[in-house]
Parts: sequence; structure tokens; C-alpha cells
Amino acid sequence: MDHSIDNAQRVQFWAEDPRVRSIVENVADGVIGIDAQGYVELFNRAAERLFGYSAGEVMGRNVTMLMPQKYSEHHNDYLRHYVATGERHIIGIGREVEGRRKDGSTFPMYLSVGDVTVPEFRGFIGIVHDLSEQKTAEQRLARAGEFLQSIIDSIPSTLVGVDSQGRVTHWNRTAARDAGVGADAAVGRPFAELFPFLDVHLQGLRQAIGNAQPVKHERLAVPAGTAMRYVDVMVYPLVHDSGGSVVCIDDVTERVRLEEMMVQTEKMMSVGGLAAGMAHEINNPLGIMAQGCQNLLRRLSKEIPGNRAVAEELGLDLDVLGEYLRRRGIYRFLEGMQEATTRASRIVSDMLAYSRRGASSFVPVHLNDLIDTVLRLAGHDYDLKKSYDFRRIGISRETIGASDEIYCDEMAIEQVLLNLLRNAAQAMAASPSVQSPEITLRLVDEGSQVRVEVADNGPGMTDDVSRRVFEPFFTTKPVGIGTGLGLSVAYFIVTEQHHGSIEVETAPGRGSRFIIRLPHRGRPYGSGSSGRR
Amino acid sequence: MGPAVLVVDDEAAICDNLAAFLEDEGMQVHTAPSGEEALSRVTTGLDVQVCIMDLRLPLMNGTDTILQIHRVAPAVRFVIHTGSAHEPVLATLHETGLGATPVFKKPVNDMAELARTVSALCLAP
Repeated sequence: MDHSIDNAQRVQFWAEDPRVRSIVENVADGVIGIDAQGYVELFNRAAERLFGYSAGEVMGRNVTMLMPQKYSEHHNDYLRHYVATGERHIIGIGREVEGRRKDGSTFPMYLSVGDVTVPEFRGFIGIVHDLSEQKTAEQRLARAGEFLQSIIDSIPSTLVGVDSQGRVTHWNRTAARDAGVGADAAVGRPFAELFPFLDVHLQGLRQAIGNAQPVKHERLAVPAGTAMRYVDVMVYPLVHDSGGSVVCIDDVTERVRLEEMMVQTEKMMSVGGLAAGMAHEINNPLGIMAQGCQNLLRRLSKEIPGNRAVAEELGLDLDVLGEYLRRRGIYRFLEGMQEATTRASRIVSDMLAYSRRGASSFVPVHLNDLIDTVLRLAGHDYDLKKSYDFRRIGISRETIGASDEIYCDEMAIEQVLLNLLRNAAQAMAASPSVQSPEITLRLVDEGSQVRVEVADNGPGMTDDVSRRVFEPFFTTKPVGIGTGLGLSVAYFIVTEQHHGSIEVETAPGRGSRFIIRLPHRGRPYGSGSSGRR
Repeated sequence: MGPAVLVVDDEAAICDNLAAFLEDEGMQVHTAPSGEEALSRVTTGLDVQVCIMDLRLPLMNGTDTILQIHRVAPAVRFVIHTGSAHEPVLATLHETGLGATPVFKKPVNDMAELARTVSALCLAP
């Protein structure tokens, strides 16, 4: 406290007019006066409250004691510089800085500084406004904003806040991903501009946004490349905001597809029931045609002694007859009829699979044994032999995990796997780019279930095809090669009968991998409490 | 002399086709349009080694016919030839001690296999 001006002088200067003194002492903001060197000349009550010092503890000492170090270390230089040059940094302006309390803690404050030059005194007067509460409120607001963003980002739906003009106010992460526009770029833009794929439906949505009426559009078909996607769009007017709405868009493509599969499966099950009832009526005439054709061919050949006897009796040359039949294409007609009956009977038997409940036929089966059987069957498969030699395909097998045992309808699972092998073989045979065809069969024990993978190195499938492979009567094979039911039957057997799942991973040129999951302890169809009837 | 076979089917055309094929294979083939007639013919002395039996027949069904014929002529072996979807007959037949009873599902596209099966049953003890 040893400075050029003594205390008596100081007190006198500030206390000269009791009205001034009263004002300074009673204003709500801290008032601090310093001289040109930075020594405190005035420290009002509000300042005492803010900094925790009494006026006596501060008077005559350098004001830097009231600042954290980052401000205090250059303060003296600032003052000197200003006094010498008149260049302002804070004086006459004011700005946000931090104060340092007696206990060492800091607090945000707004400091405005005025230059005071009167005959007896050259110094500065600072008004200190505490910003602590304001800062806390700001932080709380910021946190609330972040929390809100975090909430809407955590929701997997596309969530967009719009104002009464249809301009974006909020934009969550899914929206950014779907529209390919970040929140920074999206906020403020018209919603319609950001979701052009909703263009057709936007009129209704705009109206909804305008009327502040909740609106729900389900299963809007949205073109996505060559395919269709389905979205649910909901518009809810904001409860506490006049004119604003929140738009929620959910991609329900997978659900729609699953529901369609369920509907198809249900349909096929009723067809299957019908087929079971009709099988006898259809198979009998088919049998008559198939066997009639076979007898026709045999009785036209000269290999059968009985034919030769009758021909001789009638004076008929069987060689000439054979040549005639060949030239007139009779044999081709007969073969065509035989093939047609085979096809028809296969459709009937495929449809019959849908009527099979299989409850009584569930037995414990080791999948490795079952695969042995299926590979043997595939080797002798008549349909395959015609177009392709299954033995030319390299087969590799792998078993991972302890158990390959499942409860299943053995014949049905054989049918599923045979179907996958047949499809793989046909796909690879039909693709000239496949040099060394290979099928990998992998069993993985996944605990409660076994994963069965059937992977080929064939041509693979496009999205459009792979999406539809399990649909009944969907086929990419030439007429007469497939019934279009194979995979849909496989789907039915695995999901409905065995409570498992089947899916495919594929891409053009990358082969196809069918993945089946079957529970170790399968409940037969309809026998469990959760089984649908 | 080849084996003697009885074909039982209410579809005349099926009987005819099977008979034609098996006769060409050198078998002696008899046909019956119903279970009752088949039973009465075996009972009245028709001597066959194998009976090819349809299951859905107008009055007495195929399974009952098999059991009845088995009672009067235990040496006769059976081949089932059916167009029906799921016929849980095999277990029933097995319990009666009939032994293996091959099943052919209509439509049978290649009757040669059926003929081979019939021949094999004739040779079996």
C-alpha cells in the first residue's frame, strides 16, 4: 500500500460527493476504479460480493489480483501501452472476460471500462457484470439442444422438424444419411427440396404441415434405382409450437417384403391343401399319359418280341415304320408329352409340400449324414444329368462347432438342400464364365441352432432377382426347367415347418450363398404354443 | 413262364398300361378294377406272386384289400401304386409282418423300374 497518492487523498476523491458515493455503493454491478498504473482506487459493495474481497483488502493493490493468470500477465503492459498511445482494446468498449475470486475460483463476467480523466485523477473505471447465471443458462440450453439432437439421432427413423413454411429446423442422422445432406446444409431449406422422392405425395404432406393436422401415409412406394422401396410417412404438428411439425419417415421395405412373403406362403398353403385333395385326381391321368407314352414307344420298337410277331403277321416292316416315325417327328412328340407329364407331376408334388405339416415325422438327424445323402442324390439326379454332370463340381465341406444334430423332417430338409444344390449346379452350368464350378457346404454350430451354408462360385444374382427368389412361381430358368416353386417350398419348409430362417447373400459375379438356420431342438409345425395354425 | 402279377386299379387305362408293359417283360398279368374283385379272384384260386395295388379304390380301400389278401394268400407280395399325397399305410402294413412294401407314386414315368421291383419280389424268399 505504498503508492504515490496516499489513502487520504484517494478516499477524499471518491467520497467527495455523498450522492456519487451512494450511487456507486448501491448499483447492482461491481464498480472498480484503478489509477493509470492499475492500482485499485475504488471497490464497491457489489464488487466485494462478486470477488469475495472486502474493499480494504484490495484498495491500493494491483487490479491483476482480480484476474486469472491469462489476463493478469499482460495487464500492466496493456495499461502502459494505452496510456502511451491511446490504442484501445477494451477501454470504452467492454467485453466478456473472467474474474478471479478470493478463493481462487473464476467466474465469467462482462467488463466495460471507461477512461476517467479529471484534474486530480487519471485512471479507469470498470463495471463488472456477473455472467455466471447467464452462462449456466446458456450451457443448459446448449446441453438441452445437444440432448434433443442426440434423441432424434438415436431414433433410426428419419426425423425432420419443419416450420410453418415447410423449412427444415431439425434434421437427424438418418435424415442426413437418406437424403445425403448434412444437418448444416439442410436446416433452413424447404423440406420438399430435400426429399424429392416424396414429390408425388408432397401436396398432401404440405397441406398437413399447413393445417397442423397429424397425417399418416403408409407404404408409400418410392422408386429406388430399378427397385421399389416402401416408406411410412407421418407428420405430427408440434404440440407447443405454432405452425411447426415433425416429419417421421420409416423405411418399411423389409417389413412389406416379409408380409408379402407371409401372404404368399399362406396362399400357397391353401393351394397345398387343395393339391393334397386333388393329387390323386391329377396324378392318375398323368400316370395314364406317362405310361401310355412309354408303352407307345416300346410297342413301336422292334426290340420287343411281341411287336415283331404281330408285325410279321401283318406284313409290316418295323424298320420302315421306325424310319417313318422318325422322319415325321413322332418320337419328338412323344418325348414332349413325357416331359410335359413329368413337369406337371413335379408342380403337383411341389405344391403338396405346402400341405405337409410334418409333425409326426420329426426325428433327430445329423446334418453331416443328411448332406452325404443329398450329395449322393444330386449325383444321380435325373434332371441334373440331362443338363449337367454334378460330379464335375468341386464340393468342399466344413463343420465348425460341436453339434450338427437337429430335429427335423428328414425328407423335407433333404428336399431343401437338394434344391439348393440343383439351383447352384444349374446356375454354374448356364454361365460360361464359370471355369471350375465349386460348391461349399458349411455347417456352423451357433448354440441353439445350426447354420447351414450352401455357397457356389456361379454368376450370382442381381438385387432384383435375389429379392424375389423365395416367391412362388418366380423363376429365371427357361420354361420347363423349373417350376418356380423350389425355393418358395424351401422357404416354407425352413421357416414354417422348422421355425428356422433362410436367406441369400449374393451379387452379380460373386456367387450365391444361401444361409439356413435350423434350431437344434425344433418344434414340429403347429405343436408349439407360439406356432401358427 | 414269367411271374404272375395282379394289377388292382379302378382306372382301366392304368391297368391296361401296366399290363401291356409287364406282359412285354414276359409276365402274366391279371387286372381287377376293385378290391372286392381282387380278393374274390385270389380267394377263388388265382395264383399270383405279386399284387400291384392302388390305394384309393371305390369301396374297400387298398390297405384293407392288402390285409384281406394277405390273410388268404400269405405268400403274395405287394407293390403300392398310388397317386395320393400322404398315405400313412406303410406302418400299418409293416405291423402285419408283410415286410418291405415298395411304393411307387403316380405318375410312374419309367415302368422299367417297377418291373424290376416286381421281379425282385418274386425272387425274394
